[in-house]
Amino acid sequence: MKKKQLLILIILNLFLAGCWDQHLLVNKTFVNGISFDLTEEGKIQATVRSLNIKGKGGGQIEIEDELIYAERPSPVGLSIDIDNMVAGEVDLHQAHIVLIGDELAKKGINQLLEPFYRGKESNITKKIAISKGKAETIISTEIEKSPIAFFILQTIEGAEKATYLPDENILTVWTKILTPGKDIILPYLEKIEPDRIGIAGVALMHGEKFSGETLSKEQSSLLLLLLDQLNVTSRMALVLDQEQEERSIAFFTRKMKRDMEITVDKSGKIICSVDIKMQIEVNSYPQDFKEDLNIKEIEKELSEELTKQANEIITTLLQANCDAFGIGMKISTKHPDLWKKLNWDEEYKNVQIEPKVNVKIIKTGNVY
Amino acid sequence: MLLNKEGKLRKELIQLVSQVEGYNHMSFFKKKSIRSISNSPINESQLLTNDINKNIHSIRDYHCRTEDLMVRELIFNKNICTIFYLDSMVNKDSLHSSVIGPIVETKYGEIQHIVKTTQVKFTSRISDVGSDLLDGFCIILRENNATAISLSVVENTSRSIEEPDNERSIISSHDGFIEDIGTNIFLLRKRVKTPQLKVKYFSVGKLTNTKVSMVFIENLTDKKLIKEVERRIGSIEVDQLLSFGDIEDYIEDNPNSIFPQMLTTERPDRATSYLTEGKILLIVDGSPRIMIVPITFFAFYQSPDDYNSRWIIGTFFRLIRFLSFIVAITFPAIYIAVVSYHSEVLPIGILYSIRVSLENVPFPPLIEAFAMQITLELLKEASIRLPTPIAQTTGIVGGLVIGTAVVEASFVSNIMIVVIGLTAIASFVAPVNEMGTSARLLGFPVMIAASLFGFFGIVLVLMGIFMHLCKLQTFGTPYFAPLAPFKMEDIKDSIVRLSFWKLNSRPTDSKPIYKKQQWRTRGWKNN
Repeated sequence: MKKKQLLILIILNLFLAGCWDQHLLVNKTFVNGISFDLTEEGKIQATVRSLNIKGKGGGQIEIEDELIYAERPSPVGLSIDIDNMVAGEVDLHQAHIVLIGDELAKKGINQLLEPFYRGKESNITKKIAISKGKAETIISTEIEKSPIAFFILQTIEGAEKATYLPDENILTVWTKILTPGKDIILPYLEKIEPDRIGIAGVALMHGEKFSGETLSKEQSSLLLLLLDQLNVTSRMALVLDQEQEERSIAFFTRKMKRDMEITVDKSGKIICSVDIKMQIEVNSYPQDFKEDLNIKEIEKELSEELTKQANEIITTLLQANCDAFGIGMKISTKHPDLWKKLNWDEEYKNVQIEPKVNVKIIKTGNVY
Repeated sequence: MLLNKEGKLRKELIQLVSQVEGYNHMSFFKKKSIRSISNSPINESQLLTNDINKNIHSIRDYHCRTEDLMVRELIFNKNICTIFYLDSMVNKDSLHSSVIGPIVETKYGEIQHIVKTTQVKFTSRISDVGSDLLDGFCIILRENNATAISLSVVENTSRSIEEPDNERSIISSHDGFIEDIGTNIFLLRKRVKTPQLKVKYFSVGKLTNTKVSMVFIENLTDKKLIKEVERRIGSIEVDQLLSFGDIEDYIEDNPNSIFPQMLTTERPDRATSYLTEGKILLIVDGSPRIMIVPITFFAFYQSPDDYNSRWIIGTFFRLIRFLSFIVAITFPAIYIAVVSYHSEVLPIGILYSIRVSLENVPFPPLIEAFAMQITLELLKEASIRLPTPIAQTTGIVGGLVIGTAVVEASFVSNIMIVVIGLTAIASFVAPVNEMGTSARLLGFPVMIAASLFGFFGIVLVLMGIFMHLCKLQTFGTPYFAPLAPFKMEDIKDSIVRLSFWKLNSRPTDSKPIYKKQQWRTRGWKNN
């Protein structure tokens, strides 16, 4: 008899155990975007854009967004404040974007990302971006038009596919920040008046901190190619400046190959040569239509122009102290003795990076 | 405790009685049970005598002086002879033309030579005479003769052969079994014209004496299987056997399993196809459905139409049907799990509309699903038995009025209506109705588990179901063959349906004696 009772108790316990984790969809309030800013008093302000969904009957849905603000001296506890202000449970799964103001990003982003990375209830593939000016201005754009966060998300995802922005999310950012000898670049958003949000380029990070230096959209595209991060395709438009006569060319990069080599010479100078071979498809090239396309020449011009631009980008990278190539990591594995002696934060500026771009036209398509 | 005591008491009592009466206690019970049914004053083994009047009395007494037992006296060979028949069981026309007519006209000779019936039997036992009367024979008793002549003049009224309503097909044959056992065997013999086709009769039920026949192909069917089925049918000792459902319950291996372990069908083409796989058909007189043993799970998702359409189409529909089984079991459960545990798996667009439709629903999703599932069963049950014009009204009331009004009153979310509707349709896909209903019923435990543990619960219950399926055996053959135990060569005609020329070997789940079933199929290609 006792055994039977015990068995029933165990089975009942099993049944009860499950309900603990029940989170009914009805009770959830969806958050679709989060931003963090530094206030003038030096506190951290979190702005959450939550969804207010109403059924209007007949399958019609009315969605209105609500902004919720919370302020604390440190990010810890912000989520409790927000939870208290929202009806029902806060659901962060659909919060696809975390925006960080540039002032706050300069102080470091790790402490902001930590709850997302560790919390079991958050979406680890969220996108993260740094905003020009206050992040709150971006997340509060067009409050009646919902959901702006998804608009931002789509913009970022589209840019990733076109190789304007690196394909990063919270998970990858977190692991890369914690890896010594490698720095990341993050999307850099800006608000274009009156009510548009655009990609300003990429923000160069040094460790967990925003260096303050940014690259434009065109530059970031080339940088990503140099980093061997060609996504689906990469679209570029260039002005070929040759003997005063201005010609522009637009092309897709279809395939590419990168060779990166790091050598340390006897004096301890670190030289990194980055060679990329791009296979491109010319998209548009307004020219004298009577003449045939001189492919060899265009290839040469393009290679020179892109190499020139690559050099500019690398100067900015060195200024920002952003080791996007992961040179430090390579040295730490190939020359561990040297790595132990180096203070990489200081030494990185002295690295000589030699980019070389080689363009090959594989298709001219409709340009003949 | 109580039961044990009772059992002990009974045992003691039996011992006591058997000592007194000198019976073994087992046979004591058997005797008693027989006595309780055939409560006639005539002893089972009593023989006819030479005294015709005594015989007439005995037979009348045997039939409890029933009033439809007719007696007619004739003079033959200058002696009185008496014809008995059960008024309701014989065909009067044939009685007249083939028995009474010839006797009256000929007057002299041997009765068995002048009557025109198909069957002539000599019996000397009163009980045999009695049962012959029940089978539609007429009995002739002669003066100074202790043997009776039984002549078959049975009345055969049965409906015509029609396509079964519950197993319609589009392109396969349109005949179906009926209530008459003879016609059913005729339908089988017409399709399998071989001397190997063997029919064995059993008579089950002490009151009903229902004829049960077992049909199989002698040289193909596993001998052990035949013996086992015979043993199980022979062991049935009941008063009444009314329909195929009774016998199914009596002889199946796992009566507590939710899965049907015998395929019942009204389609002769389906029955024959299993006959030629070395399976055994059981036909119960009075039911149009015949049983096929042993059977596998996958047989319930096969339709004769699969074989008559192109193999690609047949395979496609088979796969769709298996999908329907999974949908019928899990779909409401997945919905419940998603809205109560894992809403993060939903894409943004659907998330919004589900969220909105749930907004004002006061019940937890499990109650919602149960209510709708039960409503659906109610509607189905209500419309089955109603005559067609009223059934249509039920459809409208159920589908349109309840469907929309329930949502507008926000008792149930409209996504739930979609989910339940899809589940119902998926369960109706099963070509054999029983399996569809089983699948729908299996949905309930999965739903409960989903509401308790989310996806984890669904996985647990599904694991349980598949463990049960793999463990299940019917008549010593695995129910989930050819997946468990896995047999590659049997897949080609169970889960998929390949071209006929690839099906050179029979399915082996019922252990047929000969495995190979075709030799030259597309031989013209080599010449």
